[in-house]
Amino acid sequence: MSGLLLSTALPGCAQRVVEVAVDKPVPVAVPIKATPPAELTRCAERPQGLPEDPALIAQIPTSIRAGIIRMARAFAGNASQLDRLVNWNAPGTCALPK
Amino acid sequence: MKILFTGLWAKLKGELGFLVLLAVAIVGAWLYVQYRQIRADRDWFQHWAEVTCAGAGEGFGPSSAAAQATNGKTVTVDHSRGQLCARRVTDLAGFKSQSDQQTAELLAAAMREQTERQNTDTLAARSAAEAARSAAERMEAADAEAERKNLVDREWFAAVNGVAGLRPAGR
Repeated sequence: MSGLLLSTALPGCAQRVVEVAVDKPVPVAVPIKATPPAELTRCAERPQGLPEDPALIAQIPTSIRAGIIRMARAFAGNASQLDRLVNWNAPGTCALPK
Repeated sequence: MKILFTGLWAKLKGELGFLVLLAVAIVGAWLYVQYRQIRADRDWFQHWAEVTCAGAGEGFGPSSAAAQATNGKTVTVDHSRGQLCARRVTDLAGFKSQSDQQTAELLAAAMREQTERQNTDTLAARSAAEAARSAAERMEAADAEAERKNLVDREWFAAVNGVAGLRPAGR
C-alpha cells in the first residue's frame, strides 16, 4: 500500500489545507520457483579412475572386461545427466567436463 | 391577398388575450415534458452510479470519516457525493493495468530464461555426446587389442577412464 497524498480542506476553516494519506491498491507479481533442496542439486561425484601405470598388466576374462566397460559407460552417462540437470535448475553450478 | 390578411389580423386582434394564454400554455407544456424527461434521466443516472459504485466496493453518497493527517493530527475529511467512488474506480483501473504489465514482464522473462536454458543444455548435451563417442571408439580399439593379446595394459585402463570420464588414479 503506498500513500497517495490527498489535499483536503477542513470543514469550517477553508484557509487551512492538510494532507491525508489514503490507501491505494498496488499489485504484487512475483515469479514462483520450485527450487529443489540443496542435497539434490549437488554436482556428480567423479572419483579417480583406474591407475594408468605401464607396469600394471593383468589378465581379465572377456566377460569381466565387458562388465567393467558397461559400468564405466553408465557412470559417464549418469554423471553427465546429473550435471546437466543441476545446471538446468541453477545455471553454471557444475563445470562441464572437457 | 392583402385584403385577406388585413381582415384576418383584424379578427385576431380581438382575441389577443386568448392567443397569449395559448402560447404560454404551449411553452409550459413543453417545459413540463422536458422536466419529466430530465428527471427520469437523472433518476436513471443516479441508480446507475449507485449500482456501479457498489460493484466497485464503494458507496456513492457523501460521507465523512476521521483520518490521520500528515502532521499527525486526526482530522475529519468530508467526501462529496461520488468522490470516494471515483477515486476507487481510478485506483482499480490503475491496479488492473499495472497488474497486467507486471504479469506480462514476468512471463516474458520466464520465456527468455527457458530459451537460454534450452540453448545451454543443448550445447552441453552435444559436447557430452561427442566426448562419449570418441571415448567409445578408443575403448573398442583397446579392447580388441586386449582380446588379441589376452592381457590388459595401460592403454586399456586409460580407455576405461576415458569412457567413464575419470582422471587416472595416482599410485
